Amino acid sequence: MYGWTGKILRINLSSKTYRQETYSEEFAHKWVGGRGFAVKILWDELKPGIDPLGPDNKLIVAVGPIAGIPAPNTGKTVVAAKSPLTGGYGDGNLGTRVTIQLRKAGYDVLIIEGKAETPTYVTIEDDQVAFHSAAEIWGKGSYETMDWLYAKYGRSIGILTIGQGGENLVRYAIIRSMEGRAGGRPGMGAVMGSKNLKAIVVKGTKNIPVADEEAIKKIGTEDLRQVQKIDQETGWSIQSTTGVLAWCNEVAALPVRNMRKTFHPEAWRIDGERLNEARVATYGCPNCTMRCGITILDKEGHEAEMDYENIGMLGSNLEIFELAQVGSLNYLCDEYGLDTISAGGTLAFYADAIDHGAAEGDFQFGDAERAKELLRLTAHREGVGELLAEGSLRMARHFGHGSEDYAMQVKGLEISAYNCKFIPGMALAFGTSAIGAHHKESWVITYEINETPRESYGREKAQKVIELQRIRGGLFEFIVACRFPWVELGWDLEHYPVYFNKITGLNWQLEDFWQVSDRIYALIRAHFVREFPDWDRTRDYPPRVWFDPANADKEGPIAGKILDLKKYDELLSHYYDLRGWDDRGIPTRKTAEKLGLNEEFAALEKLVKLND
Amino acid sequence: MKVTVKLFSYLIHQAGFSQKELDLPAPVTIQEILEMIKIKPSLAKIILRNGQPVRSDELVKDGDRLVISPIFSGG
Repeated sequence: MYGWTGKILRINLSSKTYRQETYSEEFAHKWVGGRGFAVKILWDELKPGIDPLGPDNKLIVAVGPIAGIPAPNTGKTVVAAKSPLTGGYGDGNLGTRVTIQLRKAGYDVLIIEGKAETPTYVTIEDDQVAFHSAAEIWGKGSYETMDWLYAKYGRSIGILTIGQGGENLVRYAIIRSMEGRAGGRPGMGAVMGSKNLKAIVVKGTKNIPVADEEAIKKIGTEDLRQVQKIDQETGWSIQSTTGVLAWCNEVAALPVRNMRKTFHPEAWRIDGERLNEARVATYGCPNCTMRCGITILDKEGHEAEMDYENIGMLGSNLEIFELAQVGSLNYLCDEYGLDTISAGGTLAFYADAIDHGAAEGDFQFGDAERAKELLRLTAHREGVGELLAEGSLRMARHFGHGSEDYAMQVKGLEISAYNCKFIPGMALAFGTSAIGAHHKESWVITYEINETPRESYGREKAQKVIELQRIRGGLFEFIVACRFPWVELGWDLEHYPVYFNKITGLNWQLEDFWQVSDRIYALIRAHFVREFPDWDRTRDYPPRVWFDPANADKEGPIAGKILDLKKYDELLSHYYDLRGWDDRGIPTRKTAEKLGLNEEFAALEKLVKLND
Repeated sequence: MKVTVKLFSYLIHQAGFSQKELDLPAPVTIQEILEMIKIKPSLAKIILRNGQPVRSDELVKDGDRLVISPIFSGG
């Protein structure tokens, strides 16, 4: 078998043991890698109803066949587990040297199970695994931890680590690597923390098995140059992802004041032009051709690596328009290991709940100094931080007074930085994103604004959401690679089957990947249904405030307009119909059979009645 | 004829401005305006005129506001 190492490394923290396992060619072809491997392994190995923060949960680290190969932007790794934030399958990807080192150590997957008795970090060097005391780094931030590990093992190692947020089980704690890299929004860092696992260090010396090494070296290296050249010619990485803030502000899609507003006259102060002017460094992932990590100095003088989601959720959504202060909030999230999107969404919800009399407290929109203190309290679960660490949905259920209507989340995961109070297709994308409201799976907003009437709820919008999910939430998450060359620079998707085939020796066309994507989406949905057998379509609804006429903008491009619940429901029905899911949003028996999921759905049928 | 052009992301750095009021001789198409401000038409992926999507071969009118952006994903 080429392209895959065929090996899984299983590490049990309770017994301090490890073993190598193999997987079959059939498994590789059916699930490909990354998100595909993770969802299948977690489906098979987790019992329904387990505590996501207990020793029975498992953390999966998985790469794909093109991960780590010298080709455009192949430095990504997927981390996955049952989510402590949503209660369903959760995952994320991050750029890390682990991608290359894990492949060179001879593995495509790590399964971390059990719980260490005391704080521990694990080193993996080829066939050897060692368990070390993390006493010296437990309680430290992620930057300090990485520096400590680099000093001990050298800078070429791959590291996955957590900050205080993960240690203290903040439900939206992420896993960190390299400078500003982070992944695993639905609490993957908290799962690590629950296992007393501070860090995973990986170093390998083996060759990655490739079918046509000469061809991939030639094509991959040339394409790395080509993508870099396109980036240089267009100038995309001058503003990188942050270029979108000014556009969102223009088209009334910016998150402002817990998404109560869609634009703000001060937004220019934190936009891509200002960030580029303030830049002191730029960082990227391994094998990156278009480094997007614009780094500025924060208010306290730390380097803070920014992207659009960070300035949107920690800036405009909190009505903080001083760039250095947004940088401080960004830096603190990275240091504590908190997801910037959920942290911004949760703080904004807290301010909004106080504003609307649902909660008591002293936090107001625009108060950067208090926001910084609240992040510290969150990461350490001190004072009100105990509540903030739970995320906006659980907070809303605690506060009551109808505040759940404006907890800006879907399935418990906070909505990322696109305010869809009048963008139906993008609202559907958040509603049906596999793991909760995440922009990464179907960024349909530009298609919607540019090629359709914004107010339409037509079937073509559901079709486009699925098409993008197949590419973004499917292909790029299971082969595993960064989607940016395609999405930002127009790098043709047809390049990816070429890389895949040269590496694996197979002869797949793009269409072959879509079946894998659909299989993964169906099994992720089955995970959620298994955990919540009373599943119904309302779990794919965005928050009620987006349908509330009283919340419509009073001025600007979408004044007086708001989403229509009945029409959204019809759009959702189109989505289900196109996917072959029933009107509850559960894949039908026929769909399961078509996707080769008979065994999995037979098990699901013991809990939930399926439709044909 | 006065037309306001607002640009985003890397188009700003290609044209050298983020927003400008242009004084133009009528008739003029959006395509011709892109050429005047040195933006490759293939990179102007989303063009809105007064908030509505518009094709680049269409003519502009006095007082129009053009919003031109490349495609970007946002993170």
